[in-house]
Amino acid sequence: MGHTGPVSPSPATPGLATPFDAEAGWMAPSPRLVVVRRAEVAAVAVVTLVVASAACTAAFGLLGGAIAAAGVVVLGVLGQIFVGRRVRSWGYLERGEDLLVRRGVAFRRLTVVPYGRMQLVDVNAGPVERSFGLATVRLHTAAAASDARIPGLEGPEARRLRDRLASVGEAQAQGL
Amino acid sequence: MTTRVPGDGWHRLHPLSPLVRSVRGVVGLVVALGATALLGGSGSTAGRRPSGGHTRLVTDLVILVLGIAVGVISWLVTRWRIEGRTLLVESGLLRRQSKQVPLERLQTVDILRPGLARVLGLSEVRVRVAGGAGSDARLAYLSSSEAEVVRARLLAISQRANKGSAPPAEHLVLAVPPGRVVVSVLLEAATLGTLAFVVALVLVSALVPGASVTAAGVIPFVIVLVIGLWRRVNDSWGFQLAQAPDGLRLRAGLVQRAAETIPTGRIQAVRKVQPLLWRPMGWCRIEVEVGGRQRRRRENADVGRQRRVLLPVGNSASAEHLLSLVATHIPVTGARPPARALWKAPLSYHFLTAAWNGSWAMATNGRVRLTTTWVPLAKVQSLRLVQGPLQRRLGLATLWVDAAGRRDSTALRDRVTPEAARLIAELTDSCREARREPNPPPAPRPDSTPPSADAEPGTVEPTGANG
Repeated sequence: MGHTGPVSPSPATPGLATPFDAEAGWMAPSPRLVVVRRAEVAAVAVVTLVVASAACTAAFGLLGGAIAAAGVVVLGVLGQIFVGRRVRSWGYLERGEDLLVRRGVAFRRLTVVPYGRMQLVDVNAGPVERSFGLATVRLHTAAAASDARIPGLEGPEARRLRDRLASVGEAQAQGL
Repeated sequence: MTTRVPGDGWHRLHPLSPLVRSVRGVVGLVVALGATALLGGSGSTAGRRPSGGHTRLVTDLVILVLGIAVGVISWLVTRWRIEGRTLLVESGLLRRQSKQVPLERLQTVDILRPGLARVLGLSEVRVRVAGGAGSDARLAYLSSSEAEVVRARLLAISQRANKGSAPPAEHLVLAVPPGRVVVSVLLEAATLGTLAFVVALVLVSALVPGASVTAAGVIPFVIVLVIGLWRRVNDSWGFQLAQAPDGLRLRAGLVQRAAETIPTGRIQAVRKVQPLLWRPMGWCRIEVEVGGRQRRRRENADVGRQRRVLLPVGNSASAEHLLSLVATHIPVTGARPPARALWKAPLSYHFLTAAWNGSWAMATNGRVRLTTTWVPLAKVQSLRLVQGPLQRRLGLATLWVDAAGRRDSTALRDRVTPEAARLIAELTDSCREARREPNPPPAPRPDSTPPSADAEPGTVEPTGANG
């Protein structure tokens, strides 16, 4: 069902080209994250469709309702395409002394967090994620702007990553 | 009042202490009482409800009496004594707190005299201990002569305990003349903005027929303006910076002189701010971000505020001198982004520079408030390379260097993409090297007194935040 073991991010979304790309060991979240995100987008789209078409039919008549419905459908399709690309762009790499996370389609980001700077590692899951057995690992440092997180990890992988990060974080921890 | 030589028994603080301690509350209450009395009297409902006014007055008086009662009780339960080589201070009615100050590790004894205390002839004795753990011990308030005697006695005990060597003296680095403080506060954007707003209101009410802005409408803004000015001037009046073995010691304040110490090893970021209106005179402000939970309360300042002002206003010579004490080997001039960054940041392009070396990363930003931020690579929390859609079209990327705190990332903006990509790898390695290096030796001090054994420069105190 799920993937275990390293998976390289798909070359279709290469992301920002950096010297780190050549390193081996880049991992990706589970492919089922795509399903999770598509389900979320579909749910939001259906709700918006109902509400918007009802409101526009009441305000502008049947034609207005139809236009609103068509607009929401188009946005929904675009959203599904975007979501697929966004999920495929996530990747993470555990190195000797730091963790690299890359993500993003429109805003491409690469974050480097040294293990010694990690203050807190937590594992959360939204309701849809949890029903698929996935979880999000989030890192916190003393800087509020650090935003490293990896969604859509399978349960065992999420726990392994959290335990590893916590133990090397403690081993290499430094005062402020 | 005759001077009591403090014997070895328990002593109380001066009886007028609760009055001085609660002066802020009392003044506020009196102002509120006065305001309600005046406004209640001048309103059109004065004839209608005299009984309501009486009830309110009685309530306010009850609150006042309660406040004074609390102050008196806390005075009754507070006592102090000098026992051998320790200063003991006990306080608290429901939860007894007993503070023990070992006098062999005495660092300084300050005598502080806030406004009302000065009028009444009282002083506060504040004792600071090397090692910095816990808060200062305060004896607030004693009569001024008694405070001097106590201070001399504490210093004498500490000298005997340290076998005759005095606590190492502080070395004054710079002082800000008061006139400069006032002019700089007046020239700040916030002041001028509020002033312009008030003037605009007055003009509108005078010139535009039919729009009447009463005096009562303008007064709140004037009050806000005056309070803001007063607070800023009070915070920076008579600012003095001295170099002590355990860090930099700041003293400032017009009505109440407050003192605090900044350990140099804890500095997470250094910032130099040059507002637009200060630039003709070449003034700037230097701030630092200090990490770790501050357990020492600065009087009247909120606990936990991590940004400290090292130089509220100074010319470029004092700024450079101060920077050389706080941050050695910083890059000063930087490289601009390529010309095509003009498309993305047309207004601030001329002010965007960035530079880095083995120990610091620097970036400047801002057209109106030109801000230069230096982050020591040894304190970097994370590095982020970000490229937005417009930047991708132009072949640029921004490298964020995150320092501890809420607002202190510095950004090397709009660099050419391959350069930024190479740079994040380089800086990752440089940060790792900087973290591994042992703490650099302290800056050389002009006097030849060796630092006391207890105050090791560069020692990092353990904090709760990072275990």
